[in-house]
Amino acid sequence: MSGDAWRGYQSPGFFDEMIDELGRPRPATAALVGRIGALGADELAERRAAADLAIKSMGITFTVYSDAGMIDRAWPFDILPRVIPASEWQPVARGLAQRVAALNAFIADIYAEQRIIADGVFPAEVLAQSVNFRPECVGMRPPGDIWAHICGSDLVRDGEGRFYVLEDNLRVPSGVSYMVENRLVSKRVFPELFEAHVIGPVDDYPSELLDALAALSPRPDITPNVAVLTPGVYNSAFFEHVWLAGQMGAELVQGTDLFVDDDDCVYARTIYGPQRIDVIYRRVDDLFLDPDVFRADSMLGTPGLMRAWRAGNVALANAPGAGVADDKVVYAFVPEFIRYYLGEEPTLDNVPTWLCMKDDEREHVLANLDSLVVKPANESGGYGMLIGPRSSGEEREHFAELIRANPRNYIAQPTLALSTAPTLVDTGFAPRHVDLRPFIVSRPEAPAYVTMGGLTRVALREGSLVVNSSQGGGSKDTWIIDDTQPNGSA
Amino acid sequence: MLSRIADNLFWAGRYIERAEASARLINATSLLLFDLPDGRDFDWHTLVEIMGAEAGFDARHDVADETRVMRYLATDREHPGSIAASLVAARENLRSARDHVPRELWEEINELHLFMAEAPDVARRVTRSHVMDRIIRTARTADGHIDAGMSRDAAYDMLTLGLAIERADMTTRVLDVRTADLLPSTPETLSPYRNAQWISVLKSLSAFQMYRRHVRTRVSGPSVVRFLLTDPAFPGSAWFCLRTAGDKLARLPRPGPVQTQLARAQRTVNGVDAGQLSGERLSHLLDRIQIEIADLSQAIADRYFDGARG
Repeated sequence: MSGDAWRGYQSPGFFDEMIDELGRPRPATAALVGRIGALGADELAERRAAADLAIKSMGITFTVYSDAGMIDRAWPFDILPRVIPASEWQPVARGLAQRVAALNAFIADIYAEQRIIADGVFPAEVLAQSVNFRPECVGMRPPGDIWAHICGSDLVRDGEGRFYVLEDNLRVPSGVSYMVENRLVSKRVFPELFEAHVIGPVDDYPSELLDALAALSPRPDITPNVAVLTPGVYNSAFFEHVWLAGQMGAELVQGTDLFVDDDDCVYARTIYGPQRIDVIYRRVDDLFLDPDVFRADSMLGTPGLMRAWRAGNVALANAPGAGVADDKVVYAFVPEFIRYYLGEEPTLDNVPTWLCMKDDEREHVLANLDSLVVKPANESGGYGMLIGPRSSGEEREHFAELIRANPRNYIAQPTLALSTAPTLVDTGFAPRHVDLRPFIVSRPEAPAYVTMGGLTRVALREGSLVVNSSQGGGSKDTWIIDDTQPNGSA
Repeated sequence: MLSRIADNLFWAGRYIERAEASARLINATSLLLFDLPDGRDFDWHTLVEIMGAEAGFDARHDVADETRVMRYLATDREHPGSIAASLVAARENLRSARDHVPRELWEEINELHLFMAEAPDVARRVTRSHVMDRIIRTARTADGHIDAGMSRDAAYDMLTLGLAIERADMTTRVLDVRTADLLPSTPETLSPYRNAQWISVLKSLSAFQMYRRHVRTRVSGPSVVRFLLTDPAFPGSAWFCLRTAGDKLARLPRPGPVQTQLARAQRTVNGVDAGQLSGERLSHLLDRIQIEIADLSQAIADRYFDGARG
């Protein structure tokens, strides 16, 4: 019986995370594959319906814009978990902590002495053209020299199953609420599977985040007032902002709820009068934070916020300016950062990257546009990219012009054979490409916290590589299954 | 509680109640209409005036007939006082304060909003009655979620403060339906209908049964006015709503200036001597109560919503 649902399942040319190239379950997933296979099509359809209902009734949504205005869509979720054996995850988690430590050291250095430039490891011209470098932050020393308190790094696996870092999101990475909610949904949908496996928990994230935020408080002797700063209900991640505030017991505020008084402290306007705010987990981009310093037309920020931050009267996470390392050109240098600041070899690899700013690499890119993926340095959400093998001659012409006009703004990478995971579609199980966004929380004088797995995003359309929820992507629960204990996986 | 959230909750309460009360008003008027002999000239424009919407209406329509007035008051999203627009506003306010209210409350209002956004044809009397009943039922369900699902905190007090104040306001507006004299002025022949009109006013506020139980006299103008303005036990009476508002205020921080304004409104309501009021004087009194309620709402905004540094 157990074979039926899986019969004919194959993912030729790609590393499938559950079924190997001979059609056999991988060791850590064998029990899971058997149990799911035994369920039968009707039962699976029922479980899927149960998941849809749970998502609807739990109100898990994301916001999209359309011609009809702003709408909340139910979070797209595939019921089949994506499984990573703990033995494979642990080095990845270590590599992420190492990477974020180096990124934080780089940001701190860039806003201080810029030793790395003086030592010739990082080119000054990259910094000169960085759109996320904030001169206003030079000379600041946030607590513990931590700038990127929350990092969401995107990982992919190639044809051999090897993990690579695709990008680091150091500005306002989102998705962690869905990581936790996905687990709640799959517990409802597959309760019996949780009895049969030791699956690493993910729901400690809000507590870890709150601890890390509280540790930044300028008033360490009292319970700090922590706020989550949201751009408001029209932001696509508003669900997550509400969720984080609720889970941490923090106040959810908008820029207009706050003001900075003559004492350079930040206060919330409440019905009880002004209430001092010590730590702000801001989900508003740098340039909108403070109209006195950045964009004067920002309606989302609070005048004086940077003044209060510089005076040390409020902590901002992530620190303004942390995005200087969230740039696809800077990305290419991260392995060098690890060697330079930590004196270590990188545990996790970058995807090989050509920098169009370098003459020889640019020539290579221009000559191979049909096989490469070209990305602008500062876009997110999968926008503004050229996927060479799927592009038209016209699109390649267009990108060649863009690259020549502004080489600093483009990088290129090989088209990766992204790994696949079985996904429930109308005809049964089918391979779909996945990535993984773990979250790394850094705080002064304590080891970084890395989520157990992360948010798995899946390109639901056959053959598609685009995992963004705004563009037809979905998600899966991510299980780090303990394969290190003899009875870890029953 | 953030001032902005307090603002959102207060207005969510007001808009939910306004949608319900508008539906009741429309129902009351329609029911009354059914009782009238054919061919009477029913003054639809007065209904627009009661809702304080004549400027906007007159700018868009030359003729105030049943179809235009009903669509304007119920489903015209361009008219900020319409039921559909009230629901848009209630929904937007709740959306921002979603983490402070039971999810079921949000869902009820969201669903009703979506239903009204499809603009059911309220010009048809059958459809109209169905639509108004649905609005009233949803609002009452919302009351249940608020009462049974919300902790008695500042969020609850702000939301129910908005409900209470809007209810007091709308009770006086529904009374206006009667005093504004919707009927053509040929007194003798229409007197039975005038009585029917008072009954429809009570029914529209779901007050008929309670009135019967507690007043026990023939339905007459003065006793209905007295009941709806000053009855201490009926939850829809202006007196009761203001007392409820006072209870909420007493739990909110430093309500002093707001309480002063509340006391002013209460004195006006308490001073009603329905037996002494001619139609015109009653109408003036109702206007005065509405103005004091508006001042009360403003006092709340000054004290709690703009409360930047105070």
